Amino acid sequence: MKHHHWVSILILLSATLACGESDEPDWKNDLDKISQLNCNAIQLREARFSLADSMRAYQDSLLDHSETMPQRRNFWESQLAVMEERKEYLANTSRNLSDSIRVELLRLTKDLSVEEKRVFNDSIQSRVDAMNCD
Amino acid sequence: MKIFSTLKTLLFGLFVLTFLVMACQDDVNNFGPDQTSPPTRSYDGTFLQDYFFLNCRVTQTTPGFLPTQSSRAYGYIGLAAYESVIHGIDSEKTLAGQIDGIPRGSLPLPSPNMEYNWALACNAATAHMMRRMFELKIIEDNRERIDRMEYENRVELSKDVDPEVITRSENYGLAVAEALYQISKTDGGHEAYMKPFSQDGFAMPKEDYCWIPTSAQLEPLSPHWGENRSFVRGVVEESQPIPNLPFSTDPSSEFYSQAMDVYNQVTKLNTPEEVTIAKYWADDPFVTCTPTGHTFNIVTQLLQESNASLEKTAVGLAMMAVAENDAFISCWKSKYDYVLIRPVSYIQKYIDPSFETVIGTPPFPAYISGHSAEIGAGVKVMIHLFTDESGDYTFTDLSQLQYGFEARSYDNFYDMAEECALSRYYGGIHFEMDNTAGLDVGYAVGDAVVNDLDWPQNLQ
Repeated sequence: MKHHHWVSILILLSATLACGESDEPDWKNDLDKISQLNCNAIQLREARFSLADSMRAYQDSLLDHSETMPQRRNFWESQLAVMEERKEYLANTSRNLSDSIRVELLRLTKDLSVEEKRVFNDSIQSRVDAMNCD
Repeated sequence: MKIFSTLKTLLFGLFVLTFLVMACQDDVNNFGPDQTSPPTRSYDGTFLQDYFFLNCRVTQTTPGFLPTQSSRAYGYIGLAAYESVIHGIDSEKTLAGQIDGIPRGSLPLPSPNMEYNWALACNAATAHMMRRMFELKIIEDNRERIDRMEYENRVELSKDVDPEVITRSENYGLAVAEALYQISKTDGGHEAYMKPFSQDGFAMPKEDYCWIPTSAQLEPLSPHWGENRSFVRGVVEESQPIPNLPFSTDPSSEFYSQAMDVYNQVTKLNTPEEVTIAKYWADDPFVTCTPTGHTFNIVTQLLQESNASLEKTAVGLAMMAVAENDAFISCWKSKYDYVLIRPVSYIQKYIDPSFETVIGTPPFPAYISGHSAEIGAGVKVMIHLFTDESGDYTFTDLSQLQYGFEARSYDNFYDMAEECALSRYYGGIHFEMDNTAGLDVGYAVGDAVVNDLDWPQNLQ
């Protein structure tokens, strides 16, 4: 009888410990996923800014040199047209990804305190830094 | 026998006590000021917050929604949501009669002694105003998203609600939104998204101090926007900045010095962190929902984090709506009163022809900075909603994480506003005076929104 009593206590203790482990913030288990999404978002951001710089360069050429170099005008315009298509693609992909990230973030952070959120963000950042997304 | 009598007395007492407690709870939680409908604060604000997140996407993807047009759309959507629920808060706080162009009695009133569900009214009003604001250019995907959100909210909010109350509430919300939309037609910005670069008789002066194109966009944005009717009467005139520093190409002048500061910052002094800040607040090529959208994303996130009720959400977003709309009108008046040249044009002409900015220069004059004005007005609202005059509040702006930026944390709203303003200097697209004057204008507009209008107090 006494033996059974100790077994019961052990089972109860194990169950409590198991529950204690599952009480850890959910986001720790999802960090990999959100970090990967964030990494993709960083790559898309880099692509957008890079494309915007290129477009600005061609637009500047059109603005400043159209009259002095009329033979180049068609080339600049055709390059800009191609870039417009790329811009559409990047914008759509970025928006769709941003929707996924927003939903995922909301799920992971809605019950966190401000301090926990900072820890969460730092955790994402250190993982993303290690992934060399830039 | 005596025991039975005592038990009967006790049971009766318990019954009376229970009745009193329930009646008391009803008074506080289940009925509004008119004692007929549950108050606005008894509803969760999440569904309205979701509309504003969706509005960011709709703004991004609807042609013609540049900073001016977007601030107006957010403005009327915020007003519609607020007016659809105000009779569940305090009828005296309606903006009809307080806001320019909306006379007292010009908006539909709920029928006396009839029950309304303010959440359903708000759902209908917000969706209707969103469709109206983007109407002529809305893409099918966005229309479907708005319809789907409205439908899903309706299903959720209608549970256990009398069908007559559902219909009455939705009809009321629609009527309020439509009345506001009709009023919006006369403010000067109606359907401006169809031709955002329309000059309508405006001609940029051909003087050295004046704005010249900085990109392939040869005409400046919305030159008449500063003439639009503001929500807060007189705020545009009262918040105008002092004139910009006198234009000069003399290297010993203050103006030249400000241009040199921009030049040195961009070509020599910018740290990687400052470049990040410039890009963070630039609201990003191709996926921006404009500075107004970014600020709305922040305040909506903060409302979400504080589990704000529909009452606090509707009031908070309406305050922000008025602030953003009016900040842009005031800012645009200044831009076209002074039509000041951009740093990039000045520097390329007088200092270094090869100068390039960190981010693209938007196609309108420099003085004052739009970002600075809108964030200045926005933080005044956030301070009113979440903290005291010190502006101290610890939070993390998660809104740009989804676009590939590291989240940025702040301990004070003014710090955030100043960082946003400085970002335009780091980016090389504004003189320092554009930002300091812009913040002052924004703060003045924000103060007027918070203090000059009579808003509900003790929000929950």
